[in-house]
Amino acid sequence: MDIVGKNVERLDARAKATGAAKFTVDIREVGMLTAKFLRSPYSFAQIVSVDTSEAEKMPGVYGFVDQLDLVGRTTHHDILDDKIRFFGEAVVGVAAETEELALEALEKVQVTYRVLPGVLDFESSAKEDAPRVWPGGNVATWRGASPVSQGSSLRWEKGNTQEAIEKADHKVSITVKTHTQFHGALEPHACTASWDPGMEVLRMNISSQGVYGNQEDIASSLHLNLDQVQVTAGFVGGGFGSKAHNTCKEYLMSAILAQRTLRPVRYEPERSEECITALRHEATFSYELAADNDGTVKGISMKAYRVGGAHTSLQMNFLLGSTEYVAPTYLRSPNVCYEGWSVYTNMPLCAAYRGFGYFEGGIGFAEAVDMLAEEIGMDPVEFLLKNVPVKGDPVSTDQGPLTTAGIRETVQACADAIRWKAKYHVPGGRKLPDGRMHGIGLCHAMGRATLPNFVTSGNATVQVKMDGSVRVFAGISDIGQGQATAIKQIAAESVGVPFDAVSVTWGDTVAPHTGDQVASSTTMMTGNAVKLAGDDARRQIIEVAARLLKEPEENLQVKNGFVSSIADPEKRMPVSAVIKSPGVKVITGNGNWSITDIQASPRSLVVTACEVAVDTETGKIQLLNMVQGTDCGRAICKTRVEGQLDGVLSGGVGYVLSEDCAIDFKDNGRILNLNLYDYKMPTALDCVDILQPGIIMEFPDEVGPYGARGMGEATLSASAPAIMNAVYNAIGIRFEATPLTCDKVLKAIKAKQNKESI
Amino acid sequence: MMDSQKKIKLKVNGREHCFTIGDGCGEIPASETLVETIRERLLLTGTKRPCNEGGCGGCTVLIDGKPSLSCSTLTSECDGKQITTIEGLEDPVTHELHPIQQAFIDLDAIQCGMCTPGITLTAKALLDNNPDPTRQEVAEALAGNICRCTGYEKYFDGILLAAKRMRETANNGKGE
Repeated sequence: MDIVGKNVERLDARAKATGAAKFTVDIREVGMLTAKFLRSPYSFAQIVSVDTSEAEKMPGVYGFVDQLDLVGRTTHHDILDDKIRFFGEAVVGVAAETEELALEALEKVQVTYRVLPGVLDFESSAKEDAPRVWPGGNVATWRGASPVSQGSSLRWEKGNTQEAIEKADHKVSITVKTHTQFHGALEPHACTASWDPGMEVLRMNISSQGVYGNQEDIASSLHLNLDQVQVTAGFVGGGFGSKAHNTCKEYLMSAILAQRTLRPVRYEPERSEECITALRHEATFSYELAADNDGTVKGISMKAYRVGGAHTSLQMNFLLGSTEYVAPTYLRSPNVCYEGWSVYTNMPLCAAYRGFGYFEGGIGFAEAVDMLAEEIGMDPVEFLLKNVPVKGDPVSTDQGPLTTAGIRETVQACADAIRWKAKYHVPGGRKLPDGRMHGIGLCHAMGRATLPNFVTSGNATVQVKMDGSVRVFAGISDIGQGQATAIKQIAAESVGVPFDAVSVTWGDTVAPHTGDQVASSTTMMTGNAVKLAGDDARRQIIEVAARLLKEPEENLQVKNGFVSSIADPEKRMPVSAVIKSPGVKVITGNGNWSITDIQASPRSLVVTACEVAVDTETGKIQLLNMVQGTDCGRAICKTRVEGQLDGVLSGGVGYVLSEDCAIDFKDNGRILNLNLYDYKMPTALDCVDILQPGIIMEFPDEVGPYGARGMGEATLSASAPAIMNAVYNAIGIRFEATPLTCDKVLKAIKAKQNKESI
Repeated sequence: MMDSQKKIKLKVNGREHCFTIGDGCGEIPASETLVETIRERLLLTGTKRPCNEGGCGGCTVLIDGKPSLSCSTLTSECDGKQITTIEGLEDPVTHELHPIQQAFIDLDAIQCGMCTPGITLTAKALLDNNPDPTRQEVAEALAGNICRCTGYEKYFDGILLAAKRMRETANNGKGE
């Protein structure tokens, strides 16, 4: 291969380095108005009336939209009504010449609320007599909101799990509660909207990782044809899942304001607004695991209890991520069952977050695995090596054959890199010279790498132009991982032109519908479509060139911008000459790609090994050393895979060691630290000299383009459990809740000391 | 308040801009922050405003060479100051980038790019004062710049590479 696998410069590197890149928040148009929103002071209320008459009189104030205008329109998979369902939800929007004017106008708006009793956490929502967030009931199911009396959201079983667990030589159980997390993308969920009355097109820029979903939601809500809405997401300042399938109400309201005022409108949430746009919600997981004396896993039973927030959104998908991605996938076991609940609450939207549910679901799982290994008396790494699935094993709910081949090898490589054999010890078995306790942990995490064909397909178009240059239309957004550059590499490779000959139209619904940038699926879904489109274009180039060169098609190849005879490379012509030849002028290649889970199950993989030091006087955990490894099938660009692995230090490590949402459940579930200084995301000082170079294993995946398989989403998900298990190894305390902030660790240490002294 | 009218001059990336502080049309309110002036009036949107309350460092610019949070600085207080934004680092004639920018590109340090301008300017101030920093010193300098994508790893590497290249250039200059 000439281009795939090379460390090419990312196509947006210079634009980002120089500040020239225009993110959604940077876009300004002549006559642009600013939208601001009045937000609900209640977690659940009916909007009785909205009076904007005083505010309308203000000069410079152009238009309003409110919740009552949205009744009957759909977003987050719910048909909106006259109720708001979480504290801080947008109630009234205004468009004005300046932000100050908009805020002044909102002060003059009168809203009459009828406050309703709500439910803020799992326990209060999952009661039969609980107030209902939506009329159907509080339990999310694939069929819609359902009453608690109808039971759980989903369940699945293979074999006979309870019997297997009873019969096995060893069994363990644990219940772990995980906490709420902000995504913390530096660019908020911003948008611009402008209505072109001539072409009858609504043009929107949205800071999004799924422009096609936004397009569908907005078009259907505004009763426009799909292609009367064009959504663009050129440069996106991070997403981590929060911008997937998330057509914020504010986007709809901004679009309506643009239509009403016939002026372009921009909306940029303040950080306090951004923080409640989407959350990783709290959840509880119970596990029972069993194995025989030789360490063979016999049964895995899992129960998941998720808070789902106020909207249907991706609750069920997220629950699936918490359950089926983990219990029937992480380890081989003949008997597996899981049951999951996701309940509506009067809290903000439940959004995807790196490690689509398996981040939090995997924490308790890995703790249970660690307990089971200890119970049997086996080294935890040996236990993993014995039980992780291998290529061809049935995984997940559909039990499709796994195509990920290098799980054992990656576990072993990470264990070697951290010198596991030399460093692993019994819990509490090693004190460092400075008095702190040393601990070590290693875990793996696996996510998806495709989406099934009933969800989406990958589509792309490649156009070869008269000068031999190539335009790829692949509408995925690039929220930072460098997908647009990977698309460029794949297109150059498949057509057979130099890297620099290719331009990419990404993050734009003018390109054919393709999968959203979720589930680490872009590499396979859209990557395969681009490869097929490139192959199609190359085939057509050869078809024309065969006539011009008077050579059979099968004797021709396209390489580096030239069509040449395979036998006699001197016999050649530039691609540009082929395109310029009579009757051609452009060659268009199309690619469409999809798959079902039953056909094949490619799973992304990340392994984390780490060492910690625990100060038993203060409860402070210091991460001493961490190594991340992946088998990504084939790295389209290694430096970019490394960059993904490095990202663990913020969202993954931060989740366990410092980040925590202060939620006031007595006051409407309002979150008190909606900013970036009371909410403690890791800084550079927390990350220096910790991470070893990432380990990249390449066992080509039969499903992926050139063997490549996405891996970004899984990068955080092995870190949290690795730290939890390392802390256990250090001080012998098995934590059953996150985060492990100093106060909680110290409390647990004191409790253990008290217990031991009795 | 009529008496608060005041003319100020800012030099942004070497170009002089004059403003009148006041409440009138086209005047800058005394409460306007530097990030607003830079982004909304000068349209230099390379300076980001991720949190607008001093919590993330994304709005960092250099004021007389010192890294400063432009969201927490009043424009009215910048009279006579030299301000450098990310747009001011590229050589306007040769289009050569600052060594920090070039190193970030070479090492593939940038992901989403929202924190990049602030980090670049913070790092420039560091290297202007300390041409040979340790990794720890780089981390200390960047402690106020939040990045959610990269774990800071490749930024550390990039800044150290840029420092090395800048020292080599300086030494070569002496040798000639």
